[in-house]
Amino acid sequence: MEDLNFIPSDREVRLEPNQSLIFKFSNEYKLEYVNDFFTDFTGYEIHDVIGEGVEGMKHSDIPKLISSMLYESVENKKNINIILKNTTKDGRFYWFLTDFQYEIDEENKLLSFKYYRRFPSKSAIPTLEKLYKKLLDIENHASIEVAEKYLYGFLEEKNMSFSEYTAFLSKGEDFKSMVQKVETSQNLPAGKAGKKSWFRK
Amino acid sequence: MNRLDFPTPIDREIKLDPSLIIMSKTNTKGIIEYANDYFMEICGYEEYELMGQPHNVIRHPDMPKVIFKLLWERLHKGENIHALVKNLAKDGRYYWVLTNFETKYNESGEIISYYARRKAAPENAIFTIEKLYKTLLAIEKNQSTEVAEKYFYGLLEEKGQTYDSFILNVLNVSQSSLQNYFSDTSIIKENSNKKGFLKRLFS
Repeated sequence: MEDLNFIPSDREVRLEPNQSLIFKFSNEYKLEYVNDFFTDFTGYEIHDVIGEGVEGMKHSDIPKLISSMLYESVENKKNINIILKNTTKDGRFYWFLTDFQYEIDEENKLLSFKYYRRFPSKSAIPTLEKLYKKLLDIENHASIEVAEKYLYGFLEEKNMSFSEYTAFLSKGEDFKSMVQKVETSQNLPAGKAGKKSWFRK
Repeated sequence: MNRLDFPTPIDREIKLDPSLIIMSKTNTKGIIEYANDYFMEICGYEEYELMGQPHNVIRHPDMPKVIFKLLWERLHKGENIHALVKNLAKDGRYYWVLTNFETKYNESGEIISYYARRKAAPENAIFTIEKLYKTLLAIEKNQSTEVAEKYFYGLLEEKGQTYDSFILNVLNVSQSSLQNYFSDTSIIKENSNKKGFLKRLFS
């Protein structure tokens, strides 16, 4: 994964409402399983990614702060529903909505987790793009700590978590039903459908 | 991080929309952590230039130091202060604001940050305060901030006023209507939406 030095292009590939990428990770963050659609959509072979992480597919437009929020959520076994940009093997980009599901044992220890990348709300993207650009500029000119303070103040002013803000931009309710529609249409493992709460903090 | 260049002031005013709030959040040392869109629009800086910088990058050289001394004394005690402040935008223009502060505490009761909300300052009040600030600034230049401070407190004493009653006098408003000026954002939002709607209708 590390030596894929492609140049990001301006071309977008779109996830459709009935499509999602599914990753299953071990408690050591190694990729154990990925669905076939991942190969169709991103152009990566399954053997390119199994046993690895997914850092190599990060898009340079996404601030480090936002990626670190994702890791922090996983560390805390919390779901986080935010919209991110990633790259395909040929350098194109796609937007997706993150969604996590954790498998834990009786002692609350992480066994594995699933990372779903779902169809994002188009209406949310222009606003998020501007916010990410601001954060990235702050990271580059000042520091990631300054960017973090900015985002904290930004969300505090709105009294929302980042997931809630994403839902707000995505016009929440429509989106909730969209997530559930995806779950049913893809015949996900039992126990998944209907379990998610979009508005959970 | 580079210190921002200090703009050369020019004698041109930026008129503020009286319905909008210029908001920023700083830490206890006055370092800017967050500023809202209207703040950025008026000051002319980009977020990456201003975040992490001390708030005095937008301080206008016409402002006497003694006002900020008083302001920080109040803020460190967790007290609000309404001050008339002339600010300096990136392009050298100025804008007058009236301040309002909210102090944020952590669980152990220590001050962690300040939310500063500012709105357009009334014109008649600017006229009065400008004269005072000129006097204070001249004393600071010829003598020191301490001497200017003594003069200012002497002036208040002579008038039998505290800073707060003095500023209400200058603004010619009551304490309650001043509170409303900063708190009644629902009406403001509604109005600005209406304006937007009408603008769209007639554009």
